[in-house]
Amino acid sequence: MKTEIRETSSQNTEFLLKEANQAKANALRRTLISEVPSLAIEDVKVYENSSVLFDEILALRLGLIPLKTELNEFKLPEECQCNGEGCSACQTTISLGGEGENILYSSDLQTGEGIEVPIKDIPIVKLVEGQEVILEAKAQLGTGKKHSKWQPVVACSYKTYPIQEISEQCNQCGECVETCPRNVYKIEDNELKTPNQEKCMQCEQCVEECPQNAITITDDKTKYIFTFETDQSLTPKQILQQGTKQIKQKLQEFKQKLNQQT
Amino acid sequence: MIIPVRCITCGKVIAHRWEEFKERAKEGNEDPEKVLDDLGLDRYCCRRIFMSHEDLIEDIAPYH
Repeated sequence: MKTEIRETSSQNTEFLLKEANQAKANALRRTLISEVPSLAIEDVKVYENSSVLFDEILALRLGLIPLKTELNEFKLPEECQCNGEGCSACQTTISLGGEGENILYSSDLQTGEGIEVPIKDIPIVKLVEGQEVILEAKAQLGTGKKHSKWQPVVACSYKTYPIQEISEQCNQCGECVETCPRNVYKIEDNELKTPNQEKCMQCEQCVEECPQNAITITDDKTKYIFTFETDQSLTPKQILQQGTKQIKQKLQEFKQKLNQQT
Repeated sequence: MIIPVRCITCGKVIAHRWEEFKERAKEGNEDPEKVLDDLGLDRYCCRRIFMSHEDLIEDIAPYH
């Protein structure tokens, strides 16, 4: 399996997976979604909440705020020496307090050393005069398998590499150029060309419209265009590195178990 | 009530874009379509949350 990075920023990434197959591409997608750990608020102790939002809603909103994750510094609670009871190796304390009239933002979260909130202006609750919120929360690592707040990727998906085959029957009538919603086709020098080949979503409208039946849409089953966004808790690079590490580890465990059987 | 922290469907963090959207499209007279494009909300799941949201928390808060 080879990769060719097309586009990468702090939040988005697009790459081409070569010499792969459907099973491998899907294994990667599922691992990124459900197995890569990230940090999120899990337990909330509410000391005072006279706002209009219930404690539960407040806790849910806090949980969904992404936290910058240093994967080396924390352990998953189930793998920690404390057996998930909670110690400094697997959790960190975050507190929030404020009174009206004010809007509490994610930047108002008091975090421990080394913990950063990447998106600062998420409104948590709006308070009017006389209302107050004081709470303490524990953040820990988790995986998307348990709750989507721990899922570092957003809209993680892939598509097969589309191929438009144009036969000799093509008479450059331009019907396909008109009808294609993704502007895949273009007529250049009396020849039908596909400058936006990868944009094709295989809707086959061009196949239907073509009076000459000159177009067939197929796909390259060894190439996949893979895209995902992050919630900024990890960078795309960290997510991919961790994801591939997890797959490797799982396969090794599987192999070990097989060897024990025989 | 208050803008959801993340898109209910795809999970993208959207809450921090709300105030700008409100200022420019709801209170101002800019075209909501262009503002949403500017804010980087390009999937229709995130866009519908902005289109249909009303900040009821401001109306309810004084009576609590």
